[in-house]
Amino acid sequence: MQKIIFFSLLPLLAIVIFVAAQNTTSAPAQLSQDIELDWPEDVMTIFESSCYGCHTEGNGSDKSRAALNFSKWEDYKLTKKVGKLNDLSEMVKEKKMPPAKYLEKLPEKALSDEQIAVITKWANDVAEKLMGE
Amino acid sequence: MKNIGRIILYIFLGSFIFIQFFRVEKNLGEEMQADDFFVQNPSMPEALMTQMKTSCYDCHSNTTQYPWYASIAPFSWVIDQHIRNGKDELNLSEYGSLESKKKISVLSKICEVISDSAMPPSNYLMLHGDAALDADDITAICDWADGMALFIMRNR
Repeated sequence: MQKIIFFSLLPLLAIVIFVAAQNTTSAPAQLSQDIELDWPEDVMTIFESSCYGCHTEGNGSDKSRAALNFSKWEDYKLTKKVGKLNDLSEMVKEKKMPPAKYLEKLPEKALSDEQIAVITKWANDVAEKLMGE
Repeated sequence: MKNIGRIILYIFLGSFIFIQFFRVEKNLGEEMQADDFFVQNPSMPEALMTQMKTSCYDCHSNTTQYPWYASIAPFSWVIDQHIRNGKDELNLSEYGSLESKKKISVLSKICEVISDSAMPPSNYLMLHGDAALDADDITAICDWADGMALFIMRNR
């Protein structure tokens, strides 16, 4: 009897372990946890949902992180920050980012015109401020 | 058997001659116009200028120094594509027409891509050994570019 209970519970246990393991691996990584940037909340929300997936440490490709890595933002030189803000604003405005291929798979990552306006205005303001330093 | 070999050779030769009729227009604009990167930055050290011209100008300007095989298809097509892509990304002949922020972005990115060895591309270097940048070249270009970017920031 005990044996039967044991063996019938075994697959259940296996399923529980399997699901638990799945959850820990597939739970969205805490993308923003290492990134402490003093940026406005509305901007951060957009970055987190549409950009961090490829442009933070441990995500995306070498190429995407070389182009822009939010995790290393604070290490960027002043001139590089201004350059990146300019590129970022340009890319978003011209709808080159997020890339069309990526949006095919994840259409919910697309930026609305409003979001684009928020990002470009913010990027231009910050760049202006940095250039005054 | 000997015949088949000969037929293949003729087909190959025939196609080779045939593709020569598909010419591409060469990138041979006037050199050093007003908006050119070097005309815009006359204070740049001569050695740096020469190195950058050798390493970057074939694909990132309106004037390419073509090698002898550049007129022969299919090499001409590959070269044409490289130049198109290069100029699309950055055309140093038009540097002067960029706004300040974009200039800073360009200067910063020049340093970035040479530091990452992303530029000059390895396939370009195979046939253009003199375009390779060593660690000293990279440091010199990066220092100059950063200084120039800061100068633009403070003097706009």
